[in-house]
Amino acid sequence: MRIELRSATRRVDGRRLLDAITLAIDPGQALLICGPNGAGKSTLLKALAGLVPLTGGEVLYDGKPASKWGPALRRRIGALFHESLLYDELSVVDNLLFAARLFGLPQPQGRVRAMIDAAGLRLVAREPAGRLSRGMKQRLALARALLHDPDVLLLDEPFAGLDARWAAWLADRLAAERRRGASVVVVAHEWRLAWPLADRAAVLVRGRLERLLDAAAWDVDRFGAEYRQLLMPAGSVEAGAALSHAEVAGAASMGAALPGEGGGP
Amino acid sequence: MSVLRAVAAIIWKDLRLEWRTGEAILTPALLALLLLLVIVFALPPGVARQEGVLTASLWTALFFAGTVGLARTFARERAEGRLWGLLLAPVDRSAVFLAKGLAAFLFLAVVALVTMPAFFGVFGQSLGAPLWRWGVVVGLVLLAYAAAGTLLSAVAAQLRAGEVLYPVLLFPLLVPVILAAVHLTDALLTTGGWEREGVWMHMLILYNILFWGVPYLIFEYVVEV
Amino acid sequence: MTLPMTRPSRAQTLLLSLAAPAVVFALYMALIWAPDERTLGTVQRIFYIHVGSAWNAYLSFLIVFLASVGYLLRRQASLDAVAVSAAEIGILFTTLTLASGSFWARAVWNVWWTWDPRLTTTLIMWFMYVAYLLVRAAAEGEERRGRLAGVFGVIAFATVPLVHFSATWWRGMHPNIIQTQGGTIRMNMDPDMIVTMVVAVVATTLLNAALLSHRVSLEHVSRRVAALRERVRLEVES
Repeated sequence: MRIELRSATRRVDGRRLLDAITLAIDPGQALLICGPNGAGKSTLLKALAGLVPLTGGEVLYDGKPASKWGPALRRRIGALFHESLLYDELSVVDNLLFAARLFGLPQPQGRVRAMIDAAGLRLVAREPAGRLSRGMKQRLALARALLHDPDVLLLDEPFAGLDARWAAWLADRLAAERRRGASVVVVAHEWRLAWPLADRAAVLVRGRLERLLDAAAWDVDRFGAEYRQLLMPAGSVEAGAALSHAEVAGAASMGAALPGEGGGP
Repeated sequence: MSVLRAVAAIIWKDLRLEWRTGEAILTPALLALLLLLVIVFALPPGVARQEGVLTASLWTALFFAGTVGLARTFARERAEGRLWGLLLAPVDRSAVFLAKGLAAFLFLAVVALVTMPAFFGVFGQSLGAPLWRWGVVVGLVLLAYAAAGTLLSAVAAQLRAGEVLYPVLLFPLLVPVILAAVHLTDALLTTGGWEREGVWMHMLILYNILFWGVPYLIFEYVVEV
Repeated sequence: MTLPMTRPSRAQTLLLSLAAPAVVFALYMALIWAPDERTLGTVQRIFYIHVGSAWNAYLSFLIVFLASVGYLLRRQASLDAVAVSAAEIGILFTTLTLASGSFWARAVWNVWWTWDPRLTTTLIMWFMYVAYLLVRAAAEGEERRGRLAGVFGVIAFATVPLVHFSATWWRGMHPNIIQTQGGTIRMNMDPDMIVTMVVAVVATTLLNAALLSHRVSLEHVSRRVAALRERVRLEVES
């Protein structure tokens, strides 16, 4: 699906979480969004998912404002947030079965079984989600987001907690989803892992779209220098942390621990 | 159709969770029985079999014990962003309220079913009315309680220390239900029917219409963000 | 950076200069000018204060309801400011209604409290709107506070009629001053008493309006201060 933002703005309590953001993503395209903590990345994803209302501007899907789509639009959106959306007390199977039924998928059982196999969760299928390791839980959350073959994928830190093998699996999977025509939005605090996937990269600082550039025309290191330059005046400490390789592993989990806008639903 | 499917899915999920946690049936049922004990201890001897004591004890215990489970209705959905998961379902958002409300009603009904015999036993009363009439009265009361309780639970879940505040927010709104419950129960015990207190039947129905209906207009605002 | 406006506007000054003498005048009429009631004697004069407060309590909660609906639809902070102001004033008038009703009950029925339907409803309303303020106090963030309080304000007001009917069917004993007879409303009162009652109601309503306008500007000032403080905090941090 084609996603379009037209001067999307969200102000809460006098703060601009999103400041007149305009961009478009075509079917099969992937957009990488990076920026420091509190830049509005998660808010942007939630606004795209229709979970937080905009106070100005609009979101369009296939040229039609999201408000005119009605509930049917949500059938075509798959989302992964900082929060897992999972029920710790329910088993892996039950968590996915619930999602499948909520979305009204035909033959939920078979669907769930295939997904569990794909995400390598067969051995823990009957375990409560709360007892999974961090990486497994992330795979389960990803499985939940991908379960209904959505046309729009909104992924907040999809690589967080994944080891090299599963990170490669996810990259392949996302490439396949894109070939199918799904448009993908990836938010990544640690952007280097997601860079190879992206057609374009956007840098968000304090709710503003500071850069929107063609990823193919940029080399990773050149972008890194540019990104560092962008963040320096705003918050030099954070920019340093985001770019330092020593903190790569820590950055993702640190991002996950920070509350999103307002701290929850 | 898809609304019914989503509602059924959420109820199935809540039953499943209840099986694993016991938050909405087991704990409230135990609390209701403990409250029965407290009431019996607090009553002067010889009063237990007097008219009205059963009604007063039963509803005091059920309404208070019920808040323990009801408060969790949305508190549980708030953790881990689960509410977002529900709101992403491709159905109108009032379906989420409907499902959570019906699940809460089911839990309350089970709590009432397992604790009421104890109340009748302790106070030495017989039903005094056909079982189906009891079912109608208790059912309507608990439906009304579940609707108001679910709506307020969604509000309280977004507040600091919301579970503590919850009963204070809920009980003033429940006054009509409490009065109706008490009058109709007394009528069942003494006359075997609700005809004498027909006006309270209307109140219960009206209350149910209001609290199952208003969320269709307002629930979207409760859960946004 | 400009400092928040603290001086009252001309409209507010006008309201206050109308309300103050009106209240004094109404008190004079209620306590001195109006005739003694035949059976109840001088105690009946509580009635004027009671009716004035009760009317304004309901009026305030109606304002809370309307402002809440408006806020939910339009999301203007000023509507939320009106809602919180009216709720506080409504609780004030509700408390006055309960206290004067209690004095009345002591003098006339020889008890401090009766479960008369209107008193009962007023008591439940008092609890409801205290709960409304608790919702506000426990909500974090201006937007969330306004939204949740707005929802609660709407639910509470929608429940008040049901509470009133319940209280009426439960037990009834309130002097029925106004009776409908053959379609026309007839009052069981001396004409002078009616005049006094009307004056008392008008005076307390003016007082309500003056209080409300001042409370609303106070709310605006305090929000402005909070916003400035937040800005200073952000500037210090960066």
